[in-house]
Amino acid sequence: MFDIAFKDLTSKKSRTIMVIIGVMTCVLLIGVISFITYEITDAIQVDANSIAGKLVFETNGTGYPPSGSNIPENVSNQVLADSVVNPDKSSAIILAALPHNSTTTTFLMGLNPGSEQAFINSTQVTGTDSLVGQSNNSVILGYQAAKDYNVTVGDTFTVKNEQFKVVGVLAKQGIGTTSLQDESVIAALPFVQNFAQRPDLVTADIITPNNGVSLGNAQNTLQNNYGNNTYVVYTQKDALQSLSSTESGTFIFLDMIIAMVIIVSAILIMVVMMMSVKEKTREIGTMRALGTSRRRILLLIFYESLIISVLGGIIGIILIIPLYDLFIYLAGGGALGYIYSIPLSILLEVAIVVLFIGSFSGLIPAYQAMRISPIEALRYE
Amino acid sequence: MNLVNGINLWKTYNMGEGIQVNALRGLNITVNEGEFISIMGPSGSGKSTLLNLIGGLDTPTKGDLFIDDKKISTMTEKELTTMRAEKIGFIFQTFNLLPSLTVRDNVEFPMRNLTGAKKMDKKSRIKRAEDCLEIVGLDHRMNYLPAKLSGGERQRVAVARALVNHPKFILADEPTGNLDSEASDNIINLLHEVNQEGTTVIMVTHDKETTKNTRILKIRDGVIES
Ligand SMILES: Nc1ncnc2c1ncn2[C@@H]1O[C@H](COP(=O)(O)OP(=O)(O)O)[C@@H](O)[C@H]1O
Ligand SMILES: [Mg+2]
Repeated sequence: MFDIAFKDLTSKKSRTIMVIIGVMTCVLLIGVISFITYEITDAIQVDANSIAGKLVFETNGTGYPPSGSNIPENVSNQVLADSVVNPDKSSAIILAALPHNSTTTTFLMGLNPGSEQAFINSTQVTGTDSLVGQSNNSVILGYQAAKDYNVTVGDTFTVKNEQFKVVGVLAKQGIGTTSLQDESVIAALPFVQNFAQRPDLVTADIITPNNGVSLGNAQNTLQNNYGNNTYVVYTQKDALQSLSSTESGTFIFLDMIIAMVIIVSAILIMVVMMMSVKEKTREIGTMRALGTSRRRILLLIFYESLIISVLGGIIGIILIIPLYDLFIYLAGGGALGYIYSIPLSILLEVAIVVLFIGSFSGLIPAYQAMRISPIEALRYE
Repeated sequence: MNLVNGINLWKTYNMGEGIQVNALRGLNITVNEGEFISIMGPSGSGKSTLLNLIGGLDTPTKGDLFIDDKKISTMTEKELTTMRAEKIGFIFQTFNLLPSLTVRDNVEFPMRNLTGAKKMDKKSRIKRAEDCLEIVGLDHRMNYLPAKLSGGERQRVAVARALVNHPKFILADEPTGNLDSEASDNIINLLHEVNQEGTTVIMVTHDKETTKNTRILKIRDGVIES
């Protein structure tokens, strides 16, 4: 019956093509939305991973990234001097928004020169990844920040009458949307305090425990000694939770769109197949009269809806990348033609959705077709 | 041997609201193997209803019907389907070819319905379809879609389709009803050829011309008059 299903579809070309385009559009939407979800999730993971094995000391209730946090410098210094803290791999940071003319945000990230590793970790760098011995206004740029200011190592750029000199540019973190590091302009702490006009204040401390001190121990000690109710000590897990809850509304919204798109395309195929079964009542009656079993009539209609959805699905999957590319381009990130690779999980998700739509929407029409009596073949109007 | 044996056949349609239509009222019929039967009668007299029963498309409300010595009046839907595929060739007034399939595929189609030991592989199905198309003189139209054929040609394809499974008998409900007289003669001649080869033919017709050399059964008000 498969070949007959196929021939039935090709004999009604315009209708078949229209439904396939409908399914394709749905698959495309689902794919792109899944892709966006995937990239946001990846970026969250990258952000959280950047403080793996570390602690963040910050104002209670500000979450992660700690943009709203404020700590007096003397408190920060006390924390960094504690015996559970590894002074070489820990640093106070100060975070300030930095304006530019693109849609993404850029952060000015102040660190103690020599402690850059607390934030840069193992990201690859062009130029230098240390501000030690550099001039006061030297900065290391995250991947996205360098793009936003359209600069590279050796260039300078000016924001609010302050000139910045680029001594290093970091590679992109992960494959997802930009992370905090990607969007950062890393500078010396006093310089940022001065620029943001927040002398004697820092945003947070990024802390690596001393050799032989467990993360949990360090967290408890710092929380007990300096936390009170004013400050908290965040772990990677807390950061992940905080980042995820920021995006949870977005995720629910995107999931709702996906659910709606699945329902719409299933109904679309179902209605078209029901119409076509009605139209083919005489034909199906004839097949039954010629001895075709009910089961095979069921299969015929089932195959038709499956073929439509699988074809729509395949075309949709092929077009996900170009569409996503265009989407990113229109959203202001990246150049057109950048090839993203679709993660297997998304392909799998779309494939399952397509099979679900195809088989689910074929069920009722196939059942209707199966119940057509062979007498219909002889009914003349 | 009786190929068809119908005893006291009743068919009652419920029209709802308690209204019933008796399409057949205790009809008796016997058809012997090798016969060519013409069923005639006024419109609404029950000709199609009778053909539906003999063809296993429907079951009688009352009475016994034997086809090939098997009682079909109490068969299940599944058994009737198998019987239709193996023993009966249908020809319809409106041709009823499958529009998306070529002439060859249309004729090949009934062979796909064979099951069990009678199952055929694709190659022999196509060979048989082409042979049958040759019999009806349409081997030059095998790759055409039905829409490209004249009414007479379409009905010849339908005859070929009715033949492919070597049926015990062919049921034709007004096969010439939509044809001009030349095409009509052509079809009747074909049916006689088939009949000569040993296949029983039961045909419903309005046209006296088509009934030459056949046994005529006249139906009126759901019973056979003569
Ligand atoms: N499916 C049906 N439902 C209700 N009445 C029917 C049905 N089929 C046939 N009839 C009625 O049964 C009678 C016989 O019909 P039919 O066998 O089609 O007659 P013929 O083929 O001789 O013109 C008619 O009165 C017709 O209206
Ligand atoms: Mg009739």
